[in-house]
Amino acid sequence: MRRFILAIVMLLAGPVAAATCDLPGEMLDTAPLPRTRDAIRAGELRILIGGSATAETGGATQPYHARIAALLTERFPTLRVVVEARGQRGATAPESLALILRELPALRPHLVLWQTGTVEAVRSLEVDELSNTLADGITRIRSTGAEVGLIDQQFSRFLRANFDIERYRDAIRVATAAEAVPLLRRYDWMRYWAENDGPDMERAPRQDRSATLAQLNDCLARAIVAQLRASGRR
Amino acid sequence: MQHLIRSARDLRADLFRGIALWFIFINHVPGNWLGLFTIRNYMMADATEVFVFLAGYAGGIAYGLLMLREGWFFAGARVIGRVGTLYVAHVFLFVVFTAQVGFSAQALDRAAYLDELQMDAFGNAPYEALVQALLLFFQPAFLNILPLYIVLLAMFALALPLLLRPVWLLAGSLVLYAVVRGFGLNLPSWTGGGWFFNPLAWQLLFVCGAVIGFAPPGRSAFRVPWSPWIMAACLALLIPCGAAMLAVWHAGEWLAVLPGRPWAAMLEGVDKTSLHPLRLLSLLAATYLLAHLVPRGARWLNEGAIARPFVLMGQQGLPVFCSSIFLSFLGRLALEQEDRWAMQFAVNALGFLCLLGVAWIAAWYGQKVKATKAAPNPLPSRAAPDTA
Repeated sequence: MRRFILAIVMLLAGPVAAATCDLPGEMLDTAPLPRTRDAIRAGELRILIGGSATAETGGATQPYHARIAALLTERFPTLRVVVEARGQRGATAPESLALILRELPALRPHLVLWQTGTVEAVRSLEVDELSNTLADGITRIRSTGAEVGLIDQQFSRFLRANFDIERYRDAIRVATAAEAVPLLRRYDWMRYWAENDGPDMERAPRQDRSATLAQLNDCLARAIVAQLRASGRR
Repeated sequence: MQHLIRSARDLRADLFRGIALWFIFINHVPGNWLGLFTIRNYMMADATEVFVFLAGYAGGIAYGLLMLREGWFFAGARVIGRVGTLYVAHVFLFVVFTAQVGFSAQALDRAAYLDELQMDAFGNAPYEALVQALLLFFQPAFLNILPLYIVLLAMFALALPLLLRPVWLLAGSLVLYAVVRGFGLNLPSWTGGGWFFNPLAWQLLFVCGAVIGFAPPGRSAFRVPWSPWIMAACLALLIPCGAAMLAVWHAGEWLAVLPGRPWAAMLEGVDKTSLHPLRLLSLLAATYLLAHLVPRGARWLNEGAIARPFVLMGQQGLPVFCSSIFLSFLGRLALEQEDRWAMQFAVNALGFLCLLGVAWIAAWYGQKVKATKAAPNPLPSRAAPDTA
């Protein structure tokens, strides 16, 4: 019954129901992003997001990278924001890294958000291979002057039940701790929303899917902006 | 339950193997809250290392003595027979796993949402995947311990005679380990890269167990004597590693402020696939401490209500292991539907009771078989102890 009422409220409220996106503070990482902070102060911020297909399209009419730009502009009206996303269906970490590296010279982003680890888990690829790629990739992206944040896997009960997601999450967690880059805990965020009446793709009735997806992308964008502000304060 | 426990052996090994089997069940159910307390959270070595090491230990005792009595060929044939059993068990679990994925994909209708799921190897090429699975080159998630164990036992069948020359065996094993790690060798995997657990590297752990377990009559088994210095060295390894792991999971910001960030960077290099030396040393250090701190004949091992179920499970390793993998499939399906505390409790309580039930039946059946064999035939049974 509660879910039913919530679904109706969500339909009435439209995709931007900000309250359901709230996250407890400890789900934001504490690693600093000084260059991103300086870029916001200087009035221009360029962000590049690279990953598999969800990075670019998010499967929705308004992907989350577009929402990030909108939210940042809303928060900092004078800021010139560029958020570019490059994704490729089924891209593994080396493949999404290649996408990112190809865009770096033209875009010269202040911040690269690298979204990865799901394809590895689904295909049971070597965990150590992922660790090596992450360490190497972070170093190479940083050498161009950009800061890096990693976005970890999506939460999905199906993914958790059928693939060994924890080992791949561990690899990403260790890589971010080792390289002192922020971890954008998409997995924890999405689980929190799913458990606290936020967007939950897996429990959404078929007819509400696209509305839920839009809401999920909005929540993701809000969480990412909150993470950038948390990292910027340090 | 106590009468089902075979007490004329080192019950400590059985106890820790039983606990490892329970942890393997827990770790194979992602989203299980108990997963936060298993040793993988604070030790470099996790339940898989314990399982492989104790499998080597049990193998060294059982097949080593069998070889002394009946010769290499007989003992080797017995080991290969075991390999066959494990292979059939693996194929069975593979079929169950595939059915599980298909069932939950259909029941939950979510393929449209997670694009990455389209990359599932079996879904894309089922016939090819089946062939590769039979060849052990395709190991879906959670089905990577048995292939490792199968190859380890097959190698062990060939290396059995070297048990009589433990120094050569250890040296050869160490050289293979070093070469494999040095050159990055691994068995191939159909989905790319190598095996999740590289048997060519993990054999060293199995061999360490076998050498420690094997005690030919008239010669004492390989033992490292008690020394406060060795104890200090073990603690100096285990405590910082454990602290670093806990910090990564629970306090990443502490690591970030350490100059040079040595711990996190070190953890990043600790691979599981080819058994990083720190994993090996952690397991050996923990074994040393436990072997000396828990006296061999401690009464609570046999009579304690807490230890007893685990000892029984450890003594029936193979059926309990296979059941734990099978039950973990059911546990995952249950938590997929609902993962709050009531379901958490149900999954863990039922899981544990089923494992215990399997061990109980296997032990009871084993005793009956032995009794019926012994009754009409006065000759002593030559059956080797169960050694999975």
